[in-house]
Amino acid sequence: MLIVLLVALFGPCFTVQNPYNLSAISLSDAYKPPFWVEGGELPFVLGTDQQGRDILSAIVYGSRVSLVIGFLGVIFAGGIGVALGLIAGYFGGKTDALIMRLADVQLSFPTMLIALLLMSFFEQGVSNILIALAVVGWVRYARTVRGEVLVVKKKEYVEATKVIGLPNRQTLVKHVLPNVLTSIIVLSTIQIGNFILTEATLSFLGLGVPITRPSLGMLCSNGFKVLYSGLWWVSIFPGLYIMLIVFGINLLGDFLRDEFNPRLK
Amino acid sequence: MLLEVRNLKTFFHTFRGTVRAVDDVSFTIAKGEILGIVGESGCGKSVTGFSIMGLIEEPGKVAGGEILFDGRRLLDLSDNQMNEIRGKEISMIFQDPMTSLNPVYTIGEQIEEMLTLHSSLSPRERRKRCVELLRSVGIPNPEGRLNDYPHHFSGGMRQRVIIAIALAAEPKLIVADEPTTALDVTIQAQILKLMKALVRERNCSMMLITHDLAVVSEMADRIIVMYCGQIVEEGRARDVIENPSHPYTQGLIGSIPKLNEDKSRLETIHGIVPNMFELPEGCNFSPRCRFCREICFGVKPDFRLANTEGHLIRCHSACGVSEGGNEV
Amino acid sequence: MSLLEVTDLVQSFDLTRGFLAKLRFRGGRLVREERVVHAVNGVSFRVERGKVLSLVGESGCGKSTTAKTIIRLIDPKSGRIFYDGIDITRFSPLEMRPFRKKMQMIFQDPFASLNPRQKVVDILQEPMIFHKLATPTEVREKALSLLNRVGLRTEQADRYPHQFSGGQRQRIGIARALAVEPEFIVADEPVSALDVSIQAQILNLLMDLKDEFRFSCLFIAHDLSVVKHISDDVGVMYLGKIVEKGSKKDVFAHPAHPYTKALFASVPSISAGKMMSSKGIEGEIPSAIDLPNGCVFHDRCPSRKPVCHEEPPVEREVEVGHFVACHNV
Repeated sequence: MLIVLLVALFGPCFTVQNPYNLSAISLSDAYKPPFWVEGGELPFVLGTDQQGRDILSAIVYGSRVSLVIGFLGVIFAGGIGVALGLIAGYFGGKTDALIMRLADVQLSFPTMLIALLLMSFFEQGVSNILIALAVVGWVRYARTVRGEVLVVKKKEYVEATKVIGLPNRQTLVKHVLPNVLTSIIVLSTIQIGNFILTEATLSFLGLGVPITRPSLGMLCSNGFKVLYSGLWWVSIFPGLYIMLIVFGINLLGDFLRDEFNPRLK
Repeated sequence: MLLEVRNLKTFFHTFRGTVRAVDDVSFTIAKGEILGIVGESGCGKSVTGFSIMGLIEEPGKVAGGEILFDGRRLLDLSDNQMNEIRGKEISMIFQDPMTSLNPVYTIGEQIEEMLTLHSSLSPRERRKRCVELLRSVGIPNPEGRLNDYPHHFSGGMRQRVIIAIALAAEPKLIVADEPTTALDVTIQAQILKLMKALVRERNCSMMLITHDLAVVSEMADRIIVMYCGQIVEEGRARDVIENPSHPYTQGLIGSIPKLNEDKSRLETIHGIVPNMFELPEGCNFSPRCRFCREICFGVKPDFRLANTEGHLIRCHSACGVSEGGNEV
Repeated sequence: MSLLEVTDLVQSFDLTRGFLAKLRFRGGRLVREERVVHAVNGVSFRVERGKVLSLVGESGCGKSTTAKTIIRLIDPKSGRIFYDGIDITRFSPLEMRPFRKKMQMIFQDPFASLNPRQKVVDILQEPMIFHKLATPTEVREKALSLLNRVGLRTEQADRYPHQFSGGQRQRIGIARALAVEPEFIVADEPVSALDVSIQAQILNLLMDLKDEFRFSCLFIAHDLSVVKHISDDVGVMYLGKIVEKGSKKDVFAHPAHPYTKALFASVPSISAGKMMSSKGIEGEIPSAIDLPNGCVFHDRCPSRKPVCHEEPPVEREVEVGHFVACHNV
């Protein structure tokens, strides 16, 4: 995971070309295979695509877009979802009913459908993708958090804060939230992966990020068009990299969960 | 002797080290006898019960010793042979009446299951026997209640049903693990009386595991007091209660608030039960003991006779034993 | 004047929230049916200054609900709660805040009553800081001395609750309640989850602290022998009602209500088979959803009369300050 982050942050310093800079690309380099395959040549380690872009460089730049979308998506969706979940679970009653019915309605549509719908309204762009992800992603947070809050709020230590006289807001932030944090973290690591995949799917379908800033999904999509012509490397390497990222994030999640648990220290 | 346990050792191997949950425990239960095993949480009393039943699960393991039941070595039996004995010859009553019945079967089905497994009665006889059993444990209108599910019963009634199931195959030994801890006092009194009457009537034996000294003193013929996986005192019920010889037993009895006594302060045992990973080098009780001497910190005491016959304690100091105690 | 006075407190919980849940098929017809648990049905008592009143009863008798209602964790259905002469029955959380400094609670389950993600010292500091009872510089010191007072070492202050045993946690819970130096403490079965030897330590500690901090206490328990030990006055509860109340001496010496007598007879004692030979009582506590008519105890009562089925008994004073609700007395 650390490697993935480092690559995303510092990778651009080492790549042979900037895939956004059209002047650096030469069409004569198009469709070069990886260097270990016949016909391949350095410095294009993983080959090039139809416009002569170096795949490795594209992956490095693409992963930055993907990661930003994944993390920001989780922060937005998580922020909304956790807040609503806390409120719904803690106060109960009509507020709870309202929020949870809203969530139910949204859950009855496939995630992809909603995302597609939203993206077809908006223009392509990173910020719009984030809005779409937040809209589809908050429900899982809200439901998970609400369930946990229902358990935690019956604990005597929460009653104790009421006996002390703490206002609800303080009880929620200081006593309830830390005790549901574990499941939020676990969920978040799954969600980052999910969001990167969702974004990849959207881009793959042509509704994601603009073509000028290719994300990993976009790269896959580009390569897909020529996959059957034997030019496998254009699509496969970005795909593998998505897999690596998602795997790494899940490992990170396990680590964080243990780290945040005072019982294991 | 119906049951003879010799030097039983049950250890739990965990990441943090080995817990000697039951460490060198020996005792016997005669036919028709009620043996009470008392101790506080974590003293190994339940693990002893589970070891006899052959129900120790990973990471626990019976590491040594012998369990002789009716002449058979239980530890040498295979799982299948053990299944024959469990339920039929030794049955168990668990602590929580709310979870030890299966909620998706009627109580009639659950008693019948026991009878089908361990007897050769015809279906009609089985039905009759179920009704008899329920009646004997004091459930009103037993015919009508056979087809009820556990959630139709209150805690006390469920415990009666569990006792009925335990008695179904006419076992020779009943292991009761905290059978009344989850119940209210008035119900506890009912259940205890019922259990004692049934045991006496059927002449079976009982091993009563509990944390409540008062309960064992009302029920048991003999009492074993456990502390940190070892027996610290053993003897006839009256001897142990009226003449407690081990400082731990004395402390336990002193810390029970008594209805018929007026005292402003309770006697206490200071400190807390030691961590099972870091037991003291000498006597396990030494850090909390009032009579502790030098030898207690260094040498584990032997199990030896106190004043009266059949009354044993594991202590260097008690009853004016000469300085130095028994060297190991 | 009594420190706390409660009159005719009623508390009930509706099991069927929402209209649809109330609909039920009965005999082929759809009927509207309410299922309400009547947890507390008209309870009145007083806690005198500096005294300990114990409410004792079996599970489901409403003693814990009474405690939680008095400390205003749940709103009462009806009845009045006076604290120091002030009617706090309908106070909002904001209005209650000054009283939170005066009334505190000790909880039953030491494993659930401490926030697992808070250090012990923070648990103790929080109430002091919130009520501005200590300046930021001295608050830690105060917390540490409190920790010391309840028998824990100061170097344990920066540990998390899971590193303590049940008894030690209960000490922390007591220290938290004492952090605001309250005048009144509700102790909801503070020792019932503990081993006997630890239970004795905690009871002794509570009694010492009571003398030192001079608080009054409402003590909830199911164990008569514990009650005998700690209280000045006793109330015996059954199915949401106080059936007998009076000074500890009177109630223990001459229990008058048949239920109180049965409770005494059912307690196992280590001094030789009293319980086994006593009669005890038959049957179990009826459901609090459909309360029995007349006296709540009539179907288990060994000395019931026809009137017991029809009329609920009124409280009568059998000795000075000793009240019993029974037709037979």
